Amino acid sequence: MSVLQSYKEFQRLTPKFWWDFGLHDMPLGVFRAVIKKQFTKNGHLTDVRVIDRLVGETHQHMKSIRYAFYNPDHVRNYLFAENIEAKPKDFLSKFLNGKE
Amino acid sequence: MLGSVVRQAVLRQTARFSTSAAVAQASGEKKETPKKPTIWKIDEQKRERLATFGKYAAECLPKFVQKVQFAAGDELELLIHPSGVLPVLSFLKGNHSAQFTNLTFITGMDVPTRKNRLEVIYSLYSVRFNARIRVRTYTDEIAPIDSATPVFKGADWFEREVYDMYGVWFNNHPDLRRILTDYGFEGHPFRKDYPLSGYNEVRYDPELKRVVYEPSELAQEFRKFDLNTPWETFPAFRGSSITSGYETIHEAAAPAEAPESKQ
Repeated sequence: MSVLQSYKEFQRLTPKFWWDFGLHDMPLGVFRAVIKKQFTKNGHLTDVRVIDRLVGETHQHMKSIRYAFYNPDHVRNYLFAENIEAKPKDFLSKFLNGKE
Repeated sequence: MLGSVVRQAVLRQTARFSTSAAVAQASGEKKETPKKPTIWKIDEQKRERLATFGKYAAECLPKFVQKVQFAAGDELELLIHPSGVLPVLSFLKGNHSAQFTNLTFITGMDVPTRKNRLEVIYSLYSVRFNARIRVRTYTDEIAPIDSATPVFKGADWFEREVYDMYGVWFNNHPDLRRILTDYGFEGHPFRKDYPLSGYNEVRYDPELKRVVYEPSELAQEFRKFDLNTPWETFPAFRGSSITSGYETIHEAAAPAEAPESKQ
């Protein structure tokens, strides 16, 4: 319940978030989906204590966004992390990457 | 309860002033006496009073105080249940015979071998009686503790610090965000399992034209950490347990399903 509430609140904040942090290189709809993914990736959690903690952290994130404590760099690093390549899984690509 | 301590302290103060004045007069002709090693002298009477106060506090708050002990001879410590942070702190602040009105610090401690691995320590000072007390409570990575800000306004930043360094979540805190590290920071650096090199390293990426975080990678020669000192640190205490410096004053009778007392 509190998760839904914070999700709705976050989505209400999203247009301002999208505009203020200069994320216009993607359409708003796509950005909304990115935010949604941040919530759904924790969908498997069942422990109430963990969920409460995450909800609390989400509120703190929203506050930090609203007051612009975060910079666009923080947001991009947190949400997209484009620079990090996916870790090589199978042996051959590991070998080709030169790692062990 | 501690009132007479103050009176004595004042008396001693005046006594010291008069003697020091006399010494100042006499120092012209006399040579200085050889220095004695400066060791903290334990004031037995004050210690006695602190012990009495510790027992009294434990009697007043039997639900929360699990143990009263002295650390390092004369430092009073109350070990409390995490649900009792606010009642205990407001008791210590408001009780007329204590008046611990000054919050010296809040800090954390991480002992990974315990079930409740994180510990939060509040240190209070009574200006009225020139006495100090420490309140220790425990939690794990997830379980929140009540914020002390309703009782002590100054607890705000201390708790942010504990949150930043240890990851203890404080309920009802006005503004619980990181204070010492950067906003995008990952992990809690004072935990024992935090790697020395951190999780992320930061660099400017010319392609993306911004600062990016990457998982830190160390070359092999930098990965050999030899952190033990070549000297033995406290050879005199080689055989003694780490808790042997504590002296228990009062211990609550463990109820049926009380959480394990620490240590």
